Amino acid sequence: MSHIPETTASVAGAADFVDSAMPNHASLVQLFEQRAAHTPDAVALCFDDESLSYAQLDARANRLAHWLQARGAAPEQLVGIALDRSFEMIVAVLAVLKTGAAYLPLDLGLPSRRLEAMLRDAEPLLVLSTRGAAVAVSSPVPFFHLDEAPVAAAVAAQPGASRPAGRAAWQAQQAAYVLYTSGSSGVPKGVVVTHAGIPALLHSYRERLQISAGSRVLQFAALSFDASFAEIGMALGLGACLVLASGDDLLPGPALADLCERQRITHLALPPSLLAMMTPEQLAGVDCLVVGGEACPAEMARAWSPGRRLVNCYGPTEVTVDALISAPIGELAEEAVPLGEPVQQAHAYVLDDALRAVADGQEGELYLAGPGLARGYLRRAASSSERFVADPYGPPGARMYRSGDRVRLQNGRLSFVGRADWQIKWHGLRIEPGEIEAGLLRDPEVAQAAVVLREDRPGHQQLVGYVVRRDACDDAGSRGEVAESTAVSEWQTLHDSFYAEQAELAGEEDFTGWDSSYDGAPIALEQMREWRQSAVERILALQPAKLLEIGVGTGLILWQVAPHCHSYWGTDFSRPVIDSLRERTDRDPLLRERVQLRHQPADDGSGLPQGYFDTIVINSVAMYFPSAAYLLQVLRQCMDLLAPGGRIYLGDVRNLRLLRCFATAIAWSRAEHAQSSVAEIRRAVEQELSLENELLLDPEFFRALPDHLEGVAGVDIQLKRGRFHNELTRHRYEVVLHKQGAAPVSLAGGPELAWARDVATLDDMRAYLVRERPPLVRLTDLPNARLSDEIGAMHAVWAASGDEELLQRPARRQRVSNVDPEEVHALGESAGYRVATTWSNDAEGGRFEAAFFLEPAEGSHSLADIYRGRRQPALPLTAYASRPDTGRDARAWAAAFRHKLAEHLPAHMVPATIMVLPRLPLTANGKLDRAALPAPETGRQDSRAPRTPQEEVLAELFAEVLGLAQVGIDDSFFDLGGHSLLATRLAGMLRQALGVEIPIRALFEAPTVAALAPQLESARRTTRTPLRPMRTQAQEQP
Amino acid sequence: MTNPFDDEQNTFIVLINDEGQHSLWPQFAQTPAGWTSVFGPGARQSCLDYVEQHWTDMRPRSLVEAMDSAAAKADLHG
Repeated sequence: MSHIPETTASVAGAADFVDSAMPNHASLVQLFEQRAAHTPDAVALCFDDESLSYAQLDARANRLAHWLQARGAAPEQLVGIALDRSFEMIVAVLAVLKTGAAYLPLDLGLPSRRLEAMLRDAEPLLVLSTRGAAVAVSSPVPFFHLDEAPVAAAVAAQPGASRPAGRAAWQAQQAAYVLYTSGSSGVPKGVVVTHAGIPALLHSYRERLQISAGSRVLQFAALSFDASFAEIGMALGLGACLVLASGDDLLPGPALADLCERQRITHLALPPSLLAMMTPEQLAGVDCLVVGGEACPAEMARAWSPGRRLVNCYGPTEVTVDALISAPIGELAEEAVPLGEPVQQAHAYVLDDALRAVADGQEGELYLAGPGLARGYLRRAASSSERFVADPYGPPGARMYRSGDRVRLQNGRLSFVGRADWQIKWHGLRIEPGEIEAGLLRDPEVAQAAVVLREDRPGHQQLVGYVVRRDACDDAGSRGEVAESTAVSEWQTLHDSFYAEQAELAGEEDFTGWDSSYDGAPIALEQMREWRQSAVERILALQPAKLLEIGVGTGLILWQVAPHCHSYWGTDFSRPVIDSLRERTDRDPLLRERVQLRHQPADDGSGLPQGYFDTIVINSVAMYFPSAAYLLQVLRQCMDLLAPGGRIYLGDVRNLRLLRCFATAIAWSRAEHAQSSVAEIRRAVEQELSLENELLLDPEFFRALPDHLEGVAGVDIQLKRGRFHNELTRHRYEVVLHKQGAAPVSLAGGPELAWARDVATLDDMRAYLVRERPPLVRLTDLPNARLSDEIGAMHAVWAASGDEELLQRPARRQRVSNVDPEEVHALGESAGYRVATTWSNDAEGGRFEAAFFLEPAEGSHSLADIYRGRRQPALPLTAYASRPDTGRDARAWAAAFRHKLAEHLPAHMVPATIMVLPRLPLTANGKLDRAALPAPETGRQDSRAPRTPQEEVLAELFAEVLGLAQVGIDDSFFDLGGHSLLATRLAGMLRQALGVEIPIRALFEAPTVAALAPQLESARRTTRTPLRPMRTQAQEQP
Repeated sequence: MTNPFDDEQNTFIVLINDEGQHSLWPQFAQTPAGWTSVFGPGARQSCLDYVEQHWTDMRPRSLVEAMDSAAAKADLHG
């Protein structure tokens, strides 16, 4: 290796070689034919116990070449090869090359649609295949089956003594093979490789891999990977024996070890990730081990180098197999395994962003030059011109290929640093995430997509796809309705099951299930009492006489409010709930007369009197609606049920604007138990967001509602009342919609005072009110004391620059500047004012404002225009609502989607997991924040595999419901992202697949396969349906 | 850290060599020997569009000539 010019020390090149034994312009075919002439009886191919000599192989290749030429095979033509590992496959490669044509390998394992796309793109003259290969592709390209008698006879009748004479002289610039690689644009690209680089490459192999006539080279790589050309070339071009084997014998592990021993393999090339599945003892007889295709870890090099020649080879498909080959790697103490030195006649440059050679010790991008460069991408001029570019360091007019690999030049040696783009190497296979992303985006339901290779568990790499689904509300198709009714019925099942077991316990103060999102513990009773009291007071202030409550539940509101009403109607979609509640109200003589209870879903108005009610209550229920469209439908119906001047009270609306803040606070409070980096918390937040399955609404939704809902006379949006700071007072709010006929008092207008700017303290405000007595005044920009810690946490997590720094709790914000909404109420009331508090129009949601007004003479219970909204152009309503279905049926959808994807993409490019996200996380400058993408839920590392058929079936069902590849028996359903709704689905599937009835509560108590399996046994005894393996049942179904 | 060939902010030209091969090239860098500019300066995409339209036979010119003359000879003798 010589380092040319001193000023470009990083420009490494190999001396042009002159070797009389290997003429510079010899093709693989010529080298092979020379061998066949000199040592005709040497063994060229071995497969199990069969072998073929050089002369025999040459004769068979000649016959097929004549046959091919008669069908038009000629230079610059392509001939497809779709053959299993066999002598025929090698014969075909040589025969195609003998005609001057180039071969196009077609991997039989690829999905037929991808094969069809390749055939359309490459337009080969014909494809050589066998009946046995049975490729099911539909293509105008003719397929010839070499095992069919007429074809076999025609080939056998051809002359075997010499190859056909070509019409044109052989040219080194002619194409030798075309290989398809993953393309970042989403379409696989055919790389056209010429003969020009082959002689120098084979010479380098002979020198650096010590190949001789006695060598036995294993043909390991599939024909569609360029490593196979290296194996074929180094054996047949250099007089060695090429050993073929069936796919089963090539499985890394005992099978491959056995094969290498049986066939006395001396030369073996493997990607490091496959080599990792073997032990050095298993390959004791292999003299020369070649690693390549991906970076080789130093410890692997240390383990494998003793007692053999270990060589690293490097080269993208865009050069003739290998551009760099390392010297034998010793038991080096170095950290990085060297990529290698340029093969004969090749050059490697390490350049910076200005295309200048970097100094020794620096990093840069690796550029490759020399005769081995491919011609370009088949029929893709633009792509070719941006990857194969003018070479400023080579001879005039030369080109270089930019590899996209970042490397370091240290003491003249090159080592791999990482990819400059997002290309992924996975088990030695090259994957462009862009191509998989394009595959994901091909589905009309997918709006955005990202694909990354994750290693959340050391040594366990997996491809994960992330998709954002298109807004289902954009197209109100039937699919949406079906999904919605499914979602509603799932909630119903959950509630039925939940309440059925609660019914006996249920009372006027049943707060079961009201658990804190921060730590999962039940919210304190006194806090729940305050929550109920404030809702009851709000409703009673509306002076209801004829009230309808949708989602009456266990009657938390009913018991308090019904005694004050003339009539109180309640509906619930859960029959056990209604039955239990009716039983109890019937026992109460006062309520029996005025309470009417009905079992029906929220969007069903049947049996309810139209134009009758003055008040409709939807308290803490809307978040379980499947979509904003469903809510709108319910509200429309409510407007019809209301008498003129009536109103709808929506209590406990979850605030979408604060969702990220809430998710951050949850992740934060969980992270407090363990030191977490910023990146980990961000991932946890994205995870939390991806699992959110309730309907959240921005206050803007209701402000914009009158444009979408007929008959609204005014909208009243207020913060929840309450002294306690909990998720209910922080993240939920109350809305009253007044129907026409009402004359709500508008709180818009009046003077405005800004906190901190105009008013420094609450005492100042009180003094102002007492002194001036304005009928209406608004205090704006109040920092909400309920939220200040969470907003602070959000800033700490999302504004931090370093990913890896440990999270520091921000200095407690100055309490002085924050204001508790209850303090504002107290202040106003002490000055003789009424007060309404509402959200500010800040995008973050951390501020509020208060309207102080003197008691109006009449209509005092009707207010409007408290919330004033953001000054921005109107967006569709759906922009202000979350998408419950992204969390809800995302898993089932993702699992089905993954199956669909496998029809288009090769198996190794289909993500192991697809996660549906509400949106993709972005960095500060608007690029995809890959570090913030949530990890797919994975089970415990020590979770065991199923031990019994029951456990096996259960584990399969768990995995299916959770959308995971597999689930161990010790993995908790809920740790893996399961939630109550999925539990309902799981119970349904257990019923369907096994005929057993497992109460949902049982799943909460025994959330692992191991714990649940014994319960199947007892459940089976009661339900009498025999336990059957699921597969058997699937087969029985038509 | 964006490769100069991928940086959309850069201005590009299109180079061509004697073999008719095209190369995208950032305008800031000196044109390598043996290459001449045939398009630009312009935006990256407009340069790629030019290449797509004008580089229609991706075989190197020397190969095209060799194949044509061989074919002509064969026709002459054939």
